[in-house]
Amino acid sequence: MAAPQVASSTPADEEEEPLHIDTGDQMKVKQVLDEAVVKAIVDAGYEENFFYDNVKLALMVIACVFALIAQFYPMPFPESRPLLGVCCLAYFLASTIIQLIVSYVEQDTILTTQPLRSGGKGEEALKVRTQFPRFQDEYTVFLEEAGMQDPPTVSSKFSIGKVFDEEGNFYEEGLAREVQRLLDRYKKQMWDVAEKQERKKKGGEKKKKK
Amino acid sequence: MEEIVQGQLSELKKLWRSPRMLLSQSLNLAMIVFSALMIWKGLMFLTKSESPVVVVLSGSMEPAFQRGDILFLNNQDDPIRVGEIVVFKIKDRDIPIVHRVLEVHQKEDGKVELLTKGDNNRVGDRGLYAPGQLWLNREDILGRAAGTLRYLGMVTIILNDYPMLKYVLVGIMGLFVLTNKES
Repeated sequence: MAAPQVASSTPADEEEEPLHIDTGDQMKVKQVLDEAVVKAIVDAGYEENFFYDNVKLALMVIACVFALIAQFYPMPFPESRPLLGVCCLAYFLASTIIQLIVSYVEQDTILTTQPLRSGGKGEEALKVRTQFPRFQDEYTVFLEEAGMQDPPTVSSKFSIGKVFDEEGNFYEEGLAREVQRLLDRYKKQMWDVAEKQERKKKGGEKKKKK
Repeated sequence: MEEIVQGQLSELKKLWRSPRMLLSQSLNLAMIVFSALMIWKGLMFLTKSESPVVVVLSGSMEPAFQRGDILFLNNQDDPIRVGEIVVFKIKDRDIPIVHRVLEVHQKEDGKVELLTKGDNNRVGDRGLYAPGQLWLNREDILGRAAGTLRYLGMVTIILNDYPMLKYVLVGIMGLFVLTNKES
């Protein structure tokens, strides 16, 4: 009746069994992997930056307030038409802004962090992006500096078979190790090779134009 | 089946632990509900009608409209003419009625009096109006029929005949929205 030895960060986790999901469910797999990546980076000492998350939440609250006004304001219909117009406009405006943030600002980002302590080289705020195209088994994690226009990235691409077994059990420690390796590469600024070459090319062209 | 329920329950438990996640998912659920509501209010604003979408409940307008058809209404200010199909509500009654305008009378002060009749009925609607009421007024009209979606309103009719279904449906949808996190 010995409990299995599981290396985990909090006492509560030791009571949980290894996560078991249907590996055919593409959305669920990405969700599980994304959450584990976020957890691994937070465990490595980074704090999550909730700025855009808070903006979205605030916008949702504003939209809900306008919806409640439209529904419950005690004015009968024909007279309340202008009020309804204002509420609808405000609601759809807030909704659109939220959508724009999700589609254009956040895109494939799953985490933005605060900078570590001093914020010196290798300790800036991080942006973590992930890609997991449909019908493929390869999951890619990108790490780059947050807030920069076109930052150099380090990435790690692997098959989900590396962290899931045939029955769908999730090997979280394996993923955490992979993320840690990626973080180390980031701190040492060992950017992806193919990207480096593209940057050199772009830099070369600019010089020629001058 | 049990697995799915278990899965949903464990997702809910996870949500409970993180207040930020709980707030986020609850707001998402609220937004979905409110989006439907605001589309309705938006239609009310644009069409000037108290009830911009109605479901045909009886066969009194056959063969033009059948029971279960969805009707889109427009209640702009132009005057109502004989032959137009209108939806009206009799004072203090909830159910909207879809019939055709038979007679329009306009008094010197601009007040309008209308008489309606269902295409499939043998007589005009005076029998339907409130006791003592001989004519409909402009305020009783919810709008003119401006478009239709056939048969899709049957869902509403079924949900009304079996009210339990409404709660079951909303409950299931709510549960799934709360526990499904999509990026």
